[in-house]
Formats: sequence, structure tokens, C-alpha cells
Amino acid sequence: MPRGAETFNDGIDVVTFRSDLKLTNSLHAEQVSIPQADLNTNIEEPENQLNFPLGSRATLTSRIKPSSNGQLSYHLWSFGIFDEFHQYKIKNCMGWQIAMKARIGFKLQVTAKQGFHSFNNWCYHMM
Amino acid sequence: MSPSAQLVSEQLFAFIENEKKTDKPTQEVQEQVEDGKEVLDQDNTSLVLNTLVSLINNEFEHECLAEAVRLLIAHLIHQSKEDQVPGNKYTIAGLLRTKILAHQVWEIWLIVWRWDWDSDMLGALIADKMGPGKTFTSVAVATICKLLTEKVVITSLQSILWMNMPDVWVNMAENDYPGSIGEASECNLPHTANSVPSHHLEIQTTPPWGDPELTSALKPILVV
Repeated sequence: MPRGAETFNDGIDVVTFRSDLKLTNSLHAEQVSIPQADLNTNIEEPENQLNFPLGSRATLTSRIKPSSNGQLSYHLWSFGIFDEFHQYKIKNCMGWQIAMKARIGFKLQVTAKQGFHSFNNWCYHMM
Repeated sequence: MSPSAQLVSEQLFAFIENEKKTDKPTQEVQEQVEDGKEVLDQDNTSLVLNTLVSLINNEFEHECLAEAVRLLIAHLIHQSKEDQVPGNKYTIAGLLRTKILAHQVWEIWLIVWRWDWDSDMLGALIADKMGPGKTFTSVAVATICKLLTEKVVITSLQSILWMNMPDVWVNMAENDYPGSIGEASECNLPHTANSVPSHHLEIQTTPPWGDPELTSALKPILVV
């Protein structure tokens, strides 16, 4: 598991201790398909709303491409955490497009570096 | 500037004036520098300014921290000998195993507050330098947002009912933020230190902003 994923793994384990929230690995690269039922929640499966799907950036971009039948394009998220967001350097890159177009209620960017030309590019357009 | 910040600045000014009157030998100043003690350079006004700004900023942060601690129901815990990270640590209701530093408490509260209240800000940026715990803060924020809206009206997916809202929030909302209901509440900017939007107490038929599907707390959290 990549080091960044381990960091999140540990953090989620600690924070969600004895709560109904749980970490799922449904976005890991070794899992080829992501069934709609695993991510989206409905009245019959309310437990899915408490999941933390954790995935790599490469996995996310590969799943969002049109050739991958756009599995993530149709999912809804209440909260999105984008770690090391400075790597989304240009607006034409897949990661930026996902971050902009994904149906996410609240986007939380996490980075220690300035990755864009100006603060407006970095912050304003994402919100 | 708040009265306390003004008091700090006055004390600092008096300290500077006192230092100027003190005629320290060069050798003594040099020894203090080598010992790592802070020495006020009479000619370096930027140091004085930076110190003053730092003090004022800290004052501001502490004022906000008090509100964050109260509304997140955070409790100060004693420093353990096993703790590798120095500084005051808090526990937050709902996060049982976590020890959260003061600046993280403030960050968590600020983002949760924006997540729930600020209709124009559908996102946030954590840009701390490396080390203060950005990743942990982001996970804690997402978790608290989920816990706060865990109780939802299943029969109406667009509704958010603040069922497990802490009593302290309810009391404060009743006492400090009588506010109004519905559209009028949008005009009520948080003008008091302990403001809590009154719509937290209401069953919302629609979220206050955007596409209801996008802002529904029913959806999972994406971590990339």
C-alpha cells in the first residue's frame, strides 16, 4: 500500500473508532469493477452512506475515463478529500477535470505547496 | 483590535522601550544569541513587528479556539509522558481515540462551520506546512460532518434533521441566535461570537444551497 494511503488508513481507523463509519477499499487498483451498489446509497442500503472509499489518484483517473465506462462519473459524494492537491497542476489534467466535474457536495483540498499560477487558480475555481 | 490584544501590544511596547533603555554589553547580547535566547534588536524593527503580529494572531486564534472547543464539546487532556508531540491536546465528542492539537480543533471547527453554514463556500483548503497534521484534520472533519448529520430523515432523502445536535448548541441557538426560519435566516449573518444558525433546529425540506443531491449527507465520502 502506498505511503499516503497508509497515512489515511491509520487516520481513518483512529478517527472512526467505535463509530458506524468504516473504511472501504473499493477504489483500490486491484478491484477491477466498482458496482454501483457499493458506492451509492439508497433507502435499502443506508449503511453505504457511512463508508470512506479510499483510492489512489491513478485509480481515480483510470476509472473516470470514457473508456472505463465512466464508473465514477455517476456517483454522488457528500464529501471529497483531495490530498496533495498541488499535483493537479493544470486545468486540462484528468485530476483537475474530475475534481471540477465530480458530483461532490463539499471538496476539501489538502496540500502544503502552491501548485498553480495564482491563488485564484488554486482555490477559487475549485469551490 | 480587541481590548486584550491592545493590552498585549501595550505591554510589548513597554517591553521594547525598556529594552532600549537597557545598555547591555555586546558580549552579553552575543552570549544570549548563542544560547538561543530571544534578543530584541533595537535596530531590527521587523523583528518587533513580527513579534507583535504573532502575538495578535495568537490572541485571535485563542479567542476562536474557545468557541471551537465549546461547540465541538472538546475537552483538554493532560499531557502524557508517552506523547511524542508537545502541546495541549483535546478530545472531541464522537472521536473517541483521537488526541487533537489546539490548532486542529480550530481548523476542524472552521471547516465544519463552513460546511454547514456558508452557502457560498462549497469547499475548503488546508494549506498548513508539512507536519501539523493536515491529513488527520481532513479525516476528522469529514467524520464530524458525517456524525453531525448521521440522523437523517430516511423518508425524505433531501432532508437533514439535526437530531444529535449537542445540547449546548441548542441552548446557544436559543439564547444567542434567535434568528428566523426559512429564507429570512439567510440574512442573519453570524454577528455574535456564539452564533449558531437557527436552521439547525429545523427540518429542512431542501438544503439551503445547490443541488440537493450534491449536498446530501447521505452520500459516502471520497478520499483521493
